[in-house]
Amino acid sequence: MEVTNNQRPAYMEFEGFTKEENDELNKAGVILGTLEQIKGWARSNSLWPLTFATACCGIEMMATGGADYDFDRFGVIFRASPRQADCVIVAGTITKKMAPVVKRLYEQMPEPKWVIAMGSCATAGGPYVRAYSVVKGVDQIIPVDVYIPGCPPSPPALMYGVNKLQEKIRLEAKGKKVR
Amino acid sequence: MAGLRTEELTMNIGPQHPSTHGVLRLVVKVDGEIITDCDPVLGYLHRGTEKLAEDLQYTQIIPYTDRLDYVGAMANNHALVNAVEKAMDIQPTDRAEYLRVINVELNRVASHLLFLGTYLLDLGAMSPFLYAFHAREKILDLFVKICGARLTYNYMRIGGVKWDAPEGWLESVREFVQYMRDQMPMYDELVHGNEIFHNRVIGVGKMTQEEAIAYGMSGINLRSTGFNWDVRKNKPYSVYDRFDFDVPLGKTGDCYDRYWCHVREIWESLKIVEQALDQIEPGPIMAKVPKIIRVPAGEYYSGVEAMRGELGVYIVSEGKDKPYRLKLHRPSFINLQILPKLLKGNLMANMVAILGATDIVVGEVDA
Amino acid sequence: MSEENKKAPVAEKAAEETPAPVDPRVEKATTHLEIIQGKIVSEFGEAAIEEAGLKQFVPTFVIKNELYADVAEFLRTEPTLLFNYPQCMAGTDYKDYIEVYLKIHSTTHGYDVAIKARGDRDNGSVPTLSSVYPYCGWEEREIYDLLGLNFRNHPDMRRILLQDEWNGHPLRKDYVVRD
Repeated sequence: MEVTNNQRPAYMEFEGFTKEENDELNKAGVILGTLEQIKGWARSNSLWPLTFATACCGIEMMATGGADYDFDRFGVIFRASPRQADCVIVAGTITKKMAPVVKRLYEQMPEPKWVIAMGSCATAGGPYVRAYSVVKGVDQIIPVDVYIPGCPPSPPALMYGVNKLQEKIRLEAKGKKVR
Repeated sequence: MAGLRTEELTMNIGPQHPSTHGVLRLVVKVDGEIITDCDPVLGYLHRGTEKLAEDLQYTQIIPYTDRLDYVGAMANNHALVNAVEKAMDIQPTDRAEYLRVINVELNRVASHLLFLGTYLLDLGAMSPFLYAFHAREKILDLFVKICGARLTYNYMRIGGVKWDAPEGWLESVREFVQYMRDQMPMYDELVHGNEIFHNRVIGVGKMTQEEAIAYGMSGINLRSTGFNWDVRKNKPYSVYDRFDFDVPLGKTGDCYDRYWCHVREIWESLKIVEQALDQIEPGPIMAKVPKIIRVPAGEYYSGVEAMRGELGVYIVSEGKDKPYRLKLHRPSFINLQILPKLLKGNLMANMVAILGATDIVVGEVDA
Repeated sequence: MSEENKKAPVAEKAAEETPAPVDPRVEKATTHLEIIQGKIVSEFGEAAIEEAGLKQFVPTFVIKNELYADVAEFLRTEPTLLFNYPQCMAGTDYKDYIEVYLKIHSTTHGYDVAIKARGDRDNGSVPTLSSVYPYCGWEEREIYDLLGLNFRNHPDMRRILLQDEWNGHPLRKDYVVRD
């Protein structure tokens, strides 16, 4: 199992241009900059996550989608197919048997895509960190944007994490680097 | 049509799927719409709880039991604590026993509500999911008040419980029981007479009593075939012999009987909670137990009625404070074994109904 | 609640060590143990049972390896015993052998019994019970997966919880967690 820690570089990339042309365009200023911000605003307010729930955190994710802590008011609608999803909320422990499946699902998602690691198992292995069959954090397989601690994180915590991701999308659209 | 060449198709209903209730993978061979063979592939959530338990003291294993059947965590706690107490001959205090029963039965109501919500969502009905989760939130609020967690409680200890009920908690439980009794007829009305629902679940996935017993099934799956086996009544533990409740039985073991047993069990659990509220007295919540729990050398097995069946704990001890071997007899793992047999010859659409009615939680299948 | 000698590992030793009044549960269980032991011995001979005793009021027998499936079939079909409901199957790794434990209950008569069999640690095997109780099919696969004990004549002997390519058997005491 190779240990990778690639964070996607946080600058805007316009499709179809070389790096030098991209740099030129990044300095472009008013029109294209505002266009990027509008795109960022639209993407952040309509995040469609993939239903990816492995363990107990999945139940809290379902509860957040329920009537009491409504997720729909943030524009978040769960999609079953990775081809139609914006982000994936990895909720639950990832085992070594499940790891290739996660990687394949992530690769099937179209750009732009984001990853939220929900719960301590997805962040760093959680209570099962000493087990023989558990991957110690999903960021060993796919790059993660937001980590939400908790075991399981309660629905307000999950909503806070999603709000943080929305902020990150909007800030990146303005060209600022977000770690 | 006779001259057409048809082939058997091997399909993968993958680990990530909205209706597999977690990460379960089914490799099915289909001939048109009929399933000819089915091979469940497990292990996508195997976290090695039994191996971890060999390195932990008994009290430290309790949080891990929470995460087995994460929808009904109170009963999992109870299973481990009950097994160690029976092995060491510790009698918990009365108030602790009653608090345990109240919490386990409330958790049973929450778990069955979740079953109703997700099963009907699988079959295509979106609204019961929202109603069920709304009622469930009320129960989780009660749990937050008593032990601080919504899902993984870590509430029971060997010899009693960790926290006493705060001021006003017992009254709010009583109010909740009344609220639930008023709401249940509305939930029933949502689906009960629905023709589509009837067509999808009546007569689908039948089992006989002999089959179910030979496969070692327990819980609602066994009771839906008509066999009266409830660990709370047949091998009483804790204070269940002081309550008066019925055990709902089905007739044919099909999906409708299992659904109906779940609904009836909610009513029975509310009955038990009410009786426990009437009988509970103030007192200590923890018995006198040694500081370090050492189970005497030997082998012990005991089971409790968890939400999905009989959750048994088999402890092999050498007299130390950590078990030599801790084996968990997990009902979802065993109830799933009959699935290939039930699916053979059935339509693809029935697969969702049968898998949902078996009511598995993958955390318990894989452990 | 009597304190003396609740767990009598071997019934005969208990009678020598404690002359004090015996717990009625131990008495009842000892009677059951003697009845069942008598029946098994009369059907299969003295050598069939290697050890007999009470473990927490449950008569427990260690059966000879080769006769394990036959004894189980006998216990299931004999009209006065009728042990038809399997309740727990577990494998344990001891220093010199791996032991398989099966606890069965009789739904008609209400008794419990537990039968065990031992196999070697290296290339050991035990006859399968899946023809007697279908319940044992997956449990035996799990014991094979985690402990490495083979089951002769099992219809589907392969790993169930870990990947097929996994090296080693994690529940053994000498397993080293590699990462």
